[in-house]
Amino acid sequence: MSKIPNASETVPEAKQQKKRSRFGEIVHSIKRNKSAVAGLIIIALLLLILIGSLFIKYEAVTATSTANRFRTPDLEFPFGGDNMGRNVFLRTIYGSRYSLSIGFLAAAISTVLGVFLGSLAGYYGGLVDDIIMRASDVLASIPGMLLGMVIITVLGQSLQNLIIAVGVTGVPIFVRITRASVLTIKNQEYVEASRAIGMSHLRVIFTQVLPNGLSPIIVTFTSSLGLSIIVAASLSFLGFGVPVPKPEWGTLVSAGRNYIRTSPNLMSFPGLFIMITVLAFNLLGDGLRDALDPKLKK
Amino acid sequence: MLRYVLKRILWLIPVIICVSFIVFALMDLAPGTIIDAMISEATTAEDIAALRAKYDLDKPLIYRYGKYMFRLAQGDLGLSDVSQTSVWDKYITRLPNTLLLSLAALVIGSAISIPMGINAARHAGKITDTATTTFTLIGMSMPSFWLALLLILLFSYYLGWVPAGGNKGFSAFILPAVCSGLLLMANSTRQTRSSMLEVLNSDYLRTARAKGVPEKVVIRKHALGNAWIPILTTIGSSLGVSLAGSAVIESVFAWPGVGRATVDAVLARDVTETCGMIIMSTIIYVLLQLIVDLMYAFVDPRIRAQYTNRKKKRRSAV
Repeated sequence: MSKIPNASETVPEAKQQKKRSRFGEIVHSIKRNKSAVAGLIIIALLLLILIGSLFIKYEAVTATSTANRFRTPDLEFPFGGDNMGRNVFLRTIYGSRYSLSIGFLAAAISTVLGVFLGSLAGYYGGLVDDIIMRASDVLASIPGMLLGMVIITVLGQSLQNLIIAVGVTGVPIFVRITRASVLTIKNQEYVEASRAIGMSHLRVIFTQVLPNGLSPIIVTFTSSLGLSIIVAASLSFLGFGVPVPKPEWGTLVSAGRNYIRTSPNLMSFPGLFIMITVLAFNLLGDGLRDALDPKLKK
Repeated sequence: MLRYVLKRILWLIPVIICVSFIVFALMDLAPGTIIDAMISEATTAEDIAALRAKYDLDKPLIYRYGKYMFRLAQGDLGLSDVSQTSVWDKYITRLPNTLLLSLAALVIGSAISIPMGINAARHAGKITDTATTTFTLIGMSMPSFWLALLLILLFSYYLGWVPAGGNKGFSAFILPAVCSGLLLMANSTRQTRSSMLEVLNSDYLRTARAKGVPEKVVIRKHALGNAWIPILTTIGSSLGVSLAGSAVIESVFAWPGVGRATVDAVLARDVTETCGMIIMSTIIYVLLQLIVDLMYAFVDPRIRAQYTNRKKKRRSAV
């Protein structure tokens, strides 16, 4: 590109847009999409909060004091004090690491497993397809929350087990979406050509087929980030989550619930954080869908 | 068509076998056993051995599962490990509560969401559309338990209109119904909007308008008729989740439904009861998917034609 300086100045507008790389095009349409930008801004703020929370000591968020029990919100305790006099603001900020890591890692587990199985099913077809799809159907026919509860009961309550449980329940969606995406691509000429020059099947799948069918997977990944956070928080709320006194947001809401009448601030603020985080991912997901969906391109 | 339905119902058998094995094996592998609570300092080794023998804990997992499946094949969900009462009885007494809640959610949710989604799509890009989209996005991002608690805070504690939970009378039913309805609404409004948007610019709508079909009929028959399938799918899957027992909402509102019973069973490490509850929920869930698929044929003549064509083809082959 650098060989032809000033080329862009002479090219008309329409052609210039064509010259953008695929990635550049996506960035461009995201920038034009208000909701995606709003989502990205909130996510950036959340990441700042997360970085800030790394400076909070674990002892500071678990320290109890009788003087601060049910302290009404003020400057030092912006979200008030809980039933053990802990600073709910610090706990909520500190808790960002749990929800964000659960969201990302659980969605990553679903994506990696689902994409791998889905591409095998779509590419090979036949018996492989049948086995993978039927297994995925079985997994999808167990209501997600119930499956999550059972998995956590077996593995025991901890952050990583919560991530595994939420991740596993999300696998079937990715299997189905990846399979559909691979099916539309696998018969194209360039895939055949790669086979003809002697590439192995797996190499064809991962270097030729998948990169061209990524759009629906990316969109599903973004929306499953938000969904994973909600499912994880719900499991925590029911008592299947990160064990107390670790301040996971769902657990905080659950703890605050007992004092809803006297100190509604205890459950409102952590809940608000969950909602804003999920909202940010949903906004970004919507923006990405518009950016990546060729049907919506004008 | 009948053949298709039968095939789908038969598909339930392998699903139940797999699901029951997964749940049974997982719950069985979970640390701790049912007899732990019955053992005290005074229990002798012989007593423990007798208890273990009573619950077949001295035999391998596959034996216990086989025994469970043998009973299940006869339609017997077994006795709860903890309370020694029939799991089926418990399920069947809880089911009407869950059904009631799900149906209320379905009615409230779709009565609002479908007109709202259509309205938003018709005024795409305008203020009504932006407001609807924002509203539904917020609704989708709200954890159900938090929404439930906020509703309790507002309508029960501040305004004092309705009780915060329980199952005493109609007034206790309002909040959980509204809460589940709102959650269903967020998803289905979004889906209605986007699938209406897809058809609104189509040529056949322009043709319909050009030949003088009144706008109401254009929207109701020509547009909605072609937009139904994704809407049905969304509503169906939301309904499936709440029919399987919306564990969270039932817990927050202390609503005695299937979901809460399942949570209690899992928390109590009750293998038989958990298994029974989850199997029943899975059956309902799968059957609902089947009903949704059959409704496609009901709302879309093209799909209906596929079924009848297949029949014709078979007949001509004979």
